[in-house]
Amino acid sequence: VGISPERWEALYRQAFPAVYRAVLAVTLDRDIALDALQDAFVEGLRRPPAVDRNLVGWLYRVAVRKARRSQGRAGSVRLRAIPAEDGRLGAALDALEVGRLLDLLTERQRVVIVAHYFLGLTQHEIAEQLGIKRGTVGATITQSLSRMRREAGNVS
Amino acid sequence: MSPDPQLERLFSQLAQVELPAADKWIRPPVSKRRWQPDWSIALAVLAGLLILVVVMGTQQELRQRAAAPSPSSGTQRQILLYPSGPGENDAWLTMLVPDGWSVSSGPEPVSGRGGGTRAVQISNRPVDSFSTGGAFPQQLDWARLPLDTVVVEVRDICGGLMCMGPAGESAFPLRWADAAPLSVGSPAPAGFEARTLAFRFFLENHVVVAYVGRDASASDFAQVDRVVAGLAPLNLPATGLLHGKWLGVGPFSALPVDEPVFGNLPSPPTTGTGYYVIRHGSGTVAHPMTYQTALGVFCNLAWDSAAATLSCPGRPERWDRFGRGVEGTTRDLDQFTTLTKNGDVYVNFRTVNGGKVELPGP
Repeated sequence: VGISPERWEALYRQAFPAVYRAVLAVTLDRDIALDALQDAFVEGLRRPPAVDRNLVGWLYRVAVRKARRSQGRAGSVRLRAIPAEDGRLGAALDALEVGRLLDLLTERQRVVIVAHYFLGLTQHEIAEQLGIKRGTVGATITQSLSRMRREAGNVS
Repeated sequence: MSPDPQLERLFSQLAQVELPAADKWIRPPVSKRRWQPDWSIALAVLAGLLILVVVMGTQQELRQRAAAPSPSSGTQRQILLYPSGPGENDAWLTMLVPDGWSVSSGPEPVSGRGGGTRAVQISNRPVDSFSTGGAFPQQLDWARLPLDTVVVEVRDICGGLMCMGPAGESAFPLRWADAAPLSVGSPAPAGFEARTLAFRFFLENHVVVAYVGRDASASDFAQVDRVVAGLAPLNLPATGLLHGKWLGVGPFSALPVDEPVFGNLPSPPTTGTGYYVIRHGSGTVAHPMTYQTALGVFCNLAWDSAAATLSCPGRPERWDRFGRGVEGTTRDLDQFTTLTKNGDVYVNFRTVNGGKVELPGP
């Protein structure tokens, strides 16, 4: 028993703002973030999650996976250089500084940090969504924070 | 949740990054688009032309309104403010602009200094002549502004995580004396004093931000109080669609107590085609009229006045008048957000809240 299309769209629209910004923080590309979320919505229509618990986590996981696929054959989400023509986004993210801090991290570290501190997912939820052990999530967060704090002094 | 203020600040700013237009959040499936390519293209072209005409008309109207002094306002002219949310085309606030001041209206994203979406920017100097950052045109280059400049902005505050604002609906007129120094995001630009005053309107948070240069004249400084005091809601219709997501259902006093009132939604949203609203004590509760069974089937709720329950024809589930499951189910009905404003009841039918029904207090 899944979620009806109408219910799914309502839940998707509720979750969109937070998940879009989270995926944007990981990809630093508005088009890829939007495409990935649109694809995730379609996947939810075709194969709805069994329950509507932690749909934010589900959407985030699927969208990151879609973004990874669309960003190349390397198989990992790489932070792209901010396109020069998209100056507004570049300046916005530059002003946020979050891009430069996240740039210090590996793909998995970025995905976990954003999920935990921006989307507010618990370590258990992240582990469940990403298919890794909870201990790995905790260790990833610790390593990421340590690295970001070390470098934070260099980020104005 | 974040372990240090820096990370919290960074993600707080991320929470204010501009969102795409809501009609782009969902892309029609490719298979659906291929079914009727001619219709899709024709509709897209028509929609594009329609949007172009509306946008051009709106811009022209705004320019005219901004340029033409109101004959009844004496030394001030009136402008209209529009919400920045997608699909919201109704003006919602009005504002008085001092004579000689310039206006830049229309939603614009802003970065830094609190972020958000700017609905209007007015100044004692020509706004169009302001130097802006090359990479981010909406952001003023404060270092190049004369220090006698006064700028007043009205912004939306973020609509999701980490948003702060007044707890209840704000009373108008606002009092600039209640403003606080700008502290979110970054300090005031050098040579300027920046203060903010948050207000809440239809459950959404907004803020007035004023930047006053240290060489500003006393009269320009005093205009800030008048501008803020002149910010006021437009007359709100008691019934019908408002801001693309609120539905006015009439005066609170006209609703029968403890008796559901059913109605149709203006355009079928994601939650079915109808709603019911019920007055309870001094508040109201509203639910979608459509219920989804455990098998994913939708049915329309009907009111059994004898048993004082809601149910679907042929279904065993029963809910009391407030949507609480009383028989055959442990699930309460989904809820719409309601708001009673100036004695009229409004239902937000774009947002559905699951979980236990919450009744308003007495």
